[in-house]
Amino acid sequence: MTSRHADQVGGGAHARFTALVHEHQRGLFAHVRVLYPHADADTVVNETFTAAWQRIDDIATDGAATWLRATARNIVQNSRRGERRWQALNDKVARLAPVALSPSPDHDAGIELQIVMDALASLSVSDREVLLMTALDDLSSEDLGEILGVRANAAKVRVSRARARLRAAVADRTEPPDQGGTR
Amino acid sequence: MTDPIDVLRSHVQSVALLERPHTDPADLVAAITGAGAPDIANRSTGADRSNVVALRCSISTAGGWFQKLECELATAESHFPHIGNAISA
Repeated sequence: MTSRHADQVGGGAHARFTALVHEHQRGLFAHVRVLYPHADADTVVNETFTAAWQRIDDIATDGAATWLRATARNIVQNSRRGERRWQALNDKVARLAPVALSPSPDHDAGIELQIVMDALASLSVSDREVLLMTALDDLSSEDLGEILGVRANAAKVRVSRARARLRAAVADRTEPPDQGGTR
Repeated sequence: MTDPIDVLRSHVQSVALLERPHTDPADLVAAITGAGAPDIANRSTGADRSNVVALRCSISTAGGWFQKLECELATAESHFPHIGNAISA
């Protein structure tokens, strides 16, 4: 939808922006909380929508969710650059927060989840990011590439490799160490 | 064992359902656009899209940054006391 058409059907930039906030605020907040638990999600969301207001005429309706996630990611990354002294602490919090937010699964599922989250925490920040991003939203390679600032093919490869590393890390934690090792 | 990707997806989506922003969407729109927010409207006219609004949003929530970090640490420590001790150390 073009901005001019949006103005005609939505009553202008303000109406379009209002609809954008109502449609995407909660999803974006959850996205930021899951992806960047060390960041203040309210601040990131507020700044993201402020940027959206400034660019409201340039945001395509069908690509708004992707645009917002890419902008939120940039805001988080920019804020990180000024907070190096907190980096080590934040990394520890980032690893723990997803588990701490667990909605009390049953025992077996809880053990599985614990293993997966432990394996996830052992991966690189880059792997964790794409795994959480694709787990949270059904993103196409094109959308993921736009958020990450890479080509779609590169995004697809990154996801594939990250998933392989997660499965391998889980296998390391579940398979007996001397399996098939009898002589 | 269930595919780790499915476990992760299920967990993350469950967590996301529990997450709610602390700002009402109407208030957020008013704060950013200036419409309907008297304290901001006094400083900017109409639908001013200046960075002043962004700065104001940042300042208004920046105070909660360290408090939120402390809360997350407290939550994490309650689940993993031994790790929490390591963080504190």
